[in-house]
Amino acid sequence: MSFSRPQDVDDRRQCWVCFASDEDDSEASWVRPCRCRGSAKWVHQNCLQRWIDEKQRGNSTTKVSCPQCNTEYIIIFPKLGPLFYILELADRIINRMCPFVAGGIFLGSVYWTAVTYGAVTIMQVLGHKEGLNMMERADPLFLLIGLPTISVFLILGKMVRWEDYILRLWRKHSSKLPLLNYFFPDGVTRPSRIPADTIPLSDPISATRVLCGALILPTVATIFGKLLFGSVQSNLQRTLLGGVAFITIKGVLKIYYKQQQFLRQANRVIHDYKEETQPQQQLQP
Amino acid sequence: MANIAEARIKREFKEVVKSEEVAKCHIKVELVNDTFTELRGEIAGPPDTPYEGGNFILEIKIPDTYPFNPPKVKFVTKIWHPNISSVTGAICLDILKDQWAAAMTLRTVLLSLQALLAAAEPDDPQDAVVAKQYKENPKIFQDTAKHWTHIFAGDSKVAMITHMLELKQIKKIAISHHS
Repeated sequence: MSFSRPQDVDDRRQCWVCFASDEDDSEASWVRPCRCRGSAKWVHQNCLQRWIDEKQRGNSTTKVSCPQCNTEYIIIFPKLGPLFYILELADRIINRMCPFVAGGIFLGSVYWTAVTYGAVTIMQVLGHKEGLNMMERADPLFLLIGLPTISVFLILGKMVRWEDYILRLWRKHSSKLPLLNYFFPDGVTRPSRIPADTIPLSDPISATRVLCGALILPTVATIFGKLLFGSVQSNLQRTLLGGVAFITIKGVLKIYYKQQQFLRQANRVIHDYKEETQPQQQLQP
Repeated sequence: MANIAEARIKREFKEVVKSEEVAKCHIKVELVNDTFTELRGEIAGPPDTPYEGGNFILEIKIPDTYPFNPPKVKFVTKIWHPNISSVTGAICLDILKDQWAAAMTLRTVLLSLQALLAAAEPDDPQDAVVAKQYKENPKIFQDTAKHWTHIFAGDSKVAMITHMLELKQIKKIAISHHS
């Protein structure tokens, strides 16, 4: 017969953690911490302390209950001086605050970076002196709100994938545009299949690409303006013209590249596997 | 700390060996080495289940932090069950994870595993393929589980008909000859 019958152990104490009884260890202190009866009634003070440590996993404020009867253990701490409680309170407040403060510092640095970027961009687009003049004359509140939005608008603008819309329109109506087909003769041939669409902006790499492209645009626009429209006197006009020229040229090249890529995917062919032929020849159709 | 683990396993071991279930050949525990850190369990497939008549071997590893942390248990015998991996034998059972309580013992763990064989939890599966079959194709699941029991857990028609100890012995000898 099993010896762990409740009737047998009423007068005999056995620890439900280490299973030792009075005979095994007569010195250990015992505790009856929950509503459990019978064999699960008694437990060593030390064994239960260890069990609670395991359940709390370092967080000494977590409440622990008996795994059998769900009674919450009553844990009493020794009384300590007022200084301890003040320190404990301070410790808890600091612990609670720090994540928010760190988040605030991070957001603050992002904000100030955006402000600086906006100011640099204005000086770049308007010219160094004119830019500084304009910012000195402007309302400081307007600058604090307006400057960071420059980078935001650049990024939002970069996320508009206008080339894709044009490319889709072109693919739909390519037969009605004989002039374009003259430049892209490949576009006339009907692709034998529609290749799988890649979803844009879905991976972190393309997100960094959007960020870099957007933030570098003013610099590129300035360079293009100086190269192509050197005769224009106004800095702003020249940079705007440079920007438009750059975006147009880049868009056309991108559309061309995408379309060629599309056709290459669409017209690919998978060859039969032949035992005799060498593998090098199979790679190139 | 290992002291508590070893002392307790020794006490538990006595308890299992003395228990009624061992006497009835429902569960069994054996030592693998002298340090009480590795044990070999055995449970009989519960009646009226596809596992009836099978004997399932378990690998039991006792961590240094036992009984504060659960023993690591997995099936050595291959078994077709939604909560047990058909490849590795890993078991999905709450008391072997976060619901472990120090008052549980090798005996209660083995009995819980036996209960798990009788009542699968397909909504909390370890083996998604088996669980899917269990839910969508109960008949095929029953047949597969029976077949696996038959092949891997040493089941035989003879053992299913009678529970006499001698015949079980004969079966074991026959199987060891066969393999």
